[in-house]
Amino acid sequence: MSMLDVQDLRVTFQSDGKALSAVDGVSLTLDRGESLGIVGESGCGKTTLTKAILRLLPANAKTDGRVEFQGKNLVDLPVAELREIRWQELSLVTQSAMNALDPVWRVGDQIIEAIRLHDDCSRAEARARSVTLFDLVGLKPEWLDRYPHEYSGGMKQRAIIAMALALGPAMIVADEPTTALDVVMQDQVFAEIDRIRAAGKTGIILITHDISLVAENCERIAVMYAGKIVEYGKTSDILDLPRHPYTIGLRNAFAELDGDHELISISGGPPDLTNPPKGCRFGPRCPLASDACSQEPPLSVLDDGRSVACHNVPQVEAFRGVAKLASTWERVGRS
Amino acid sequence: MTNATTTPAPLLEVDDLCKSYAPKRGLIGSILARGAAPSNTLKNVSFDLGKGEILGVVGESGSGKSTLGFTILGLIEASSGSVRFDGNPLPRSARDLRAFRRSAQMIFQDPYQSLNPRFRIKDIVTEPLLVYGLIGKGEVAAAAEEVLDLVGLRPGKNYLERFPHELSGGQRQRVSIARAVVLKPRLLIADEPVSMLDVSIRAGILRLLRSLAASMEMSVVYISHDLSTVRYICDRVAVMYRGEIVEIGSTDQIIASPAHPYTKRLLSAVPRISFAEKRQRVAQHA
Amino acid sequence: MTIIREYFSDSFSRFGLFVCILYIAVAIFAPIFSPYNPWENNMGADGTLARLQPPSAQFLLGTTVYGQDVLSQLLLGTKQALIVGGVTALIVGIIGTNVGLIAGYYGGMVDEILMRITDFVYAIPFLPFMMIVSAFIGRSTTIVIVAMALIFWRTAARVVRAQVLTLKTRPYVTAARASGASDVRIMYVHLLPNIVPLGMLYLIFSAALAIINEASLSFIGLGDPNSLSWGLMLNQAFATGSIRVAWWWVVPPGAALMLLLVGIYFLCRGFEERANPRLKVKR
Repeated sequence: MSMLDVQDLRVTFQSDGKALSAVDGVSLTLDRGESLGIVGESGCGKTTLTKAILRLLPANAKTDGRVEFQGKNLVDLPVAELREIRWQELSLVTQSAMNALDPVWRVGDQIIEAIRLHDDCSRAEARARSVTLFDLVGLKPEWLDRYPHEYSGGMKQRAIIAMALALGPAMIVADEPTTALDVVMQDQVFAEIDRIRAAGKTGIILITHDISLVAENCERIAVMYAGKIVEYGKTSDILDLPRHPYTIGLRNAFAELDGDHELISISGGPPDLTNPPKGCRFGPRCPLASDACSQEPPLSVLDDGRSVACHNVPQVEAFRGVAKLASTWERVGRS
Repeated sequence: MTNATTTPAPLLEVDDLCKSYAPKRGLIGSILARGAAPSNTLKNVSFDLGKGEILGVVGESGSGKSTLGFTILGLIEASSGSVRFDGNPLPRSARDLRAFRRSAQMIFQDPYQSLNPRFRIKDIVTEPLLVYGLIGKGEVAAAAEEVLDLVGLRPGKNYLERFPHELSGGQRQRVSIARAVVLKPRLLIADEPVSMLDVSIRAGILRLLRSLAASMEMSVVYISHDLSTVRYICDRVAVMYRGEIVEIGSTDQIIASPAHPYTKRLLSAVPRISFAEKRQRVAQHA
Repeated sequence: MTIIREYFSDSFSRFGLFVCILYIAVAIFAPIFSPYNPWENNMGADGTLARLQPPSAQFLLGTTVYGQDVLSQLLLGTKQALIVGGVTALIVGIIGTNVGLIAGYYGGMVDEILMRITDFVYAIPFLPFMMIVSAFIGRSTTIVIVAMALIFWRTAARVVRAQVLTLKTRPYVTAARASGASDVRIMYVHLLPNIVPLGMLYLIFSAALAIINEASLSFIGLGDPNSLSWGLMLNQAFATGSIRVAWWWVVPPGAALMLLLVGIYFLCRGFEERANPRLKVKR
C-alpha cells in the first residue's frame, strides 16, 4: 500500500453562481523516499490539488474523492486528527513561505517553539534538533540566533524547509518553493532537498512550472492540464519521449541552455474551467485533434508503464517530426 | 580609422556608468552623523550596443540590471559616467529628454500592472502617438489596429475597445510591446518581459521581439535572470554581479566557455532537462 | 442600471441609495409639498398664535413656540442640509484631490511643503475656529461652507496622496513617462481615474461630516440664522426651553438628521468595495 494514494480527486469552486471545476479526477501515488513532480501552467489545478490534499481550501470549495495518507482518508478526517497529521507527518513549503517567518523573533526561537508545540521535549533538546536540521539544509548553527531580515531569500527558504522537516514528516509537499529565488539559491535549496530524499525516509511532491527542475529532482512526473493529469510516469521516459501532445508542446516551448531547437508556443490559452470544452480539454489547442477527441480520453496505461490521456497515442510517433515545426502548432488556432 | 571595412558606429555607448543611492538618514541620524555607506547599485558599467543588435543583460536580483535599463533611458539619473545615444550624450533638459524618448522605449516585467486598468487597449497603444502629436484623435482606431496586427493580436479590430483585465498575460504583454514600438524606436529596453508568463506563451513573445528587432532595425537590451531565454534571443550577453559587468561577449562564447568565476557559477546552477550528464551542483554552506 | 447593480450589490448600500434619493427628492419638491410657509406664524382656530401644538390633523407634526409648522420646517431643512453637504464635499474633493495628487506625484520639497500645510490645518481645532470665524466675519451659510471646506480637505489630501504614492510606482506610470507624457498628463489622465473610487468615498464622507457639523454649529448658534436648518430648529427648541415639553419639535429634526447620515454611510459601502477590492465579500 502506498503512503499517499489520491483516488479520483475532484475539487469544484462555487464563485458568483458558477461552478469551476479546478481539479477533475486526479489519481496519483507516492511512497516514502520517492519524489514526484507535478508540472503544469497557470490554471492547471496543481496548487488546488496541493491544497486539497492538505485540506487548506477555502469554504466555497467542494472536494470529492479520496486522499489516503498512511491508510487514513484525509478528505473527511476530523479536524483534530488532521491537525495531528499536519506538519508531523505531512508538511507544506510554499512559494512565499519565507514570508511566514515572524520578523520580530529569532529564527531559532521560531523553530524551537514549533517543535515544542508538537513534541514534548525540553528547550535544550529542541535546540539540539534545530542544529541538526540546520545542518541538514546547509545552514551553520549560529544562524539560529539571527533574525529573518539578516537572511537572504535562499537562506530563508532553506530555514523553512528545516522547519518543515522538524518533526520528521513522512511527506513534504513543495509548491513552487524556489520560484522567487535566484538560480544559484535555487540550486542550493534543491541540493538540500535532494539530500533529504536520498536519505530515503521522506516522500516529496514538487509542484512547479519548471520542467528542468522536475527533470533533475523527481523520479516520476505528472503533467497536468486544465484540472486533469494528461501524462504520468517515469520522468526520464516522459521527458525524453513524451507521448501526449501537450507534453510535446511544453517541451517545444521550453528554452534550454543546451538545447538547439526553435521555441514554439502553443497557440490559444487554457480553457475557461467554468465552462470546459466537451471531450478532451486540450482538444481546441491540439494539432493532433481528431473526431475521437470529442470524447474525454481516459488515462490509460501504456506498455512502458506510463499513463497517457489521449485518444491518438498510436499517431504520436509519426507526429513527432512534424511537431518540431512551428507551422504545425500555429495552424491550430486558424482552423 | 584605417580599417578597410569600417564598423558602423554603435547606437549606444555606455561609459563608466555609476549609480549610488545615498542612504536615508532620519533627523537623529543626521545629527549623530551616523548612517550606512551609500549603495553601489551600478559600478563603472561600460558597453556598446550596435544597431539592430540584441544584447542580454543577465544577473540575479540586486545585480543592478533593472537600474541599468532605467538609467539608460534617463528615467533614473546616473551619479556619474556617460550614456551616448547615436553619438550624442543623453539629454538633461525635460524637453530634449522628451524628444529622445521617441527613439528609446521600454517594456516591463509585470503584464498585469504595465497597462492602465482604466484605459482601453486602443488608447493605450496610441497614447505615445497622441502625446507627440503624430496623429489626431480621429486616427486612433486605424493606428491602433495597425500596431496590434503587427504584434500578433489579429484581427486588431477585436481588441480596440477592450480593457486590460479582459486579456490574458501573454496578450497584455503584446499590448505593452505594441505601445513601445508604435513610435518606431531605435532602442528597446526589455525588463524581464517573459518571466511572469506561462512557459508555453513565452516562445511567442520572444520570437515576436526577435522579428521586430530585425524588421524595424531596432536594438534591444534584454534584461533577465533566466539564462535559457537569453541564449535563445540574444546575440551578445553581459553578465552583471553586484552592479558591475563581470563578463561580456557573444552568447555562444559565454555559454560554451565562460571566463569569470561568477559566470561559471551561474551557468552551473541552471537546471537542465537533458540527461546526458548529471550536472555538478553548486554546493554552498552558509 | 448595471452601475447600480455593480456598485450597490448589497441591501445596505441599496437602502442607503434609496434614502439619499428620497432626501434629494424631498429637498427639490419641498416648496411644493409643504403644507405651510415654514416661517409663517400660524394662527389657531381661536385666533391666537398656534404655539406648541402637538401633532394634529391641521399641523401633522405640531407647531413650534412661534406657531410655525414643524413639518414644513423639516422639509425645508432638507434643502439646507443637502446643499451644505454637497457643496462642501465638492470643494473638499477639489482641494483635497489636487493637493494629494501634486504632493504624492512630485514628492520632494513640493510634498514636504504641502504636507506641512496639511499638518498645520490638522492642528486647527474645528469649533474654536468656527467661533472665531463667526465672531469676526459673520454668520451665513456660505461662510459655514467655506470654513468647513477649508478644514476638511486635509483628510482627503492625505488619503489621496497615499494612494498616489502606491500607484506612481506601477509600471504603467513609468511607461507613460517613457512614452513622453508630461507630468500633468500623467497626474490627470493616468492617475486621477484610478483615484476616483477612493476619492468618491471620501467625498461622500465629507458630505456627511459637513452635514452633521453644520447642524451642530446651528444648534449652538453659530450657523446661519436666516437659513432654516435642522440644527436651527433644535437650537430654537432648546433656547426657548421647549425641549422637555414639545417632543414633536425635537424628535423629527434629530431623526431626519440621523436617517440621512445613516443613509449616506450605507451608500458608502457600495463605494468601499470598489475602492478597496480586498474588502470584497465573497457572495
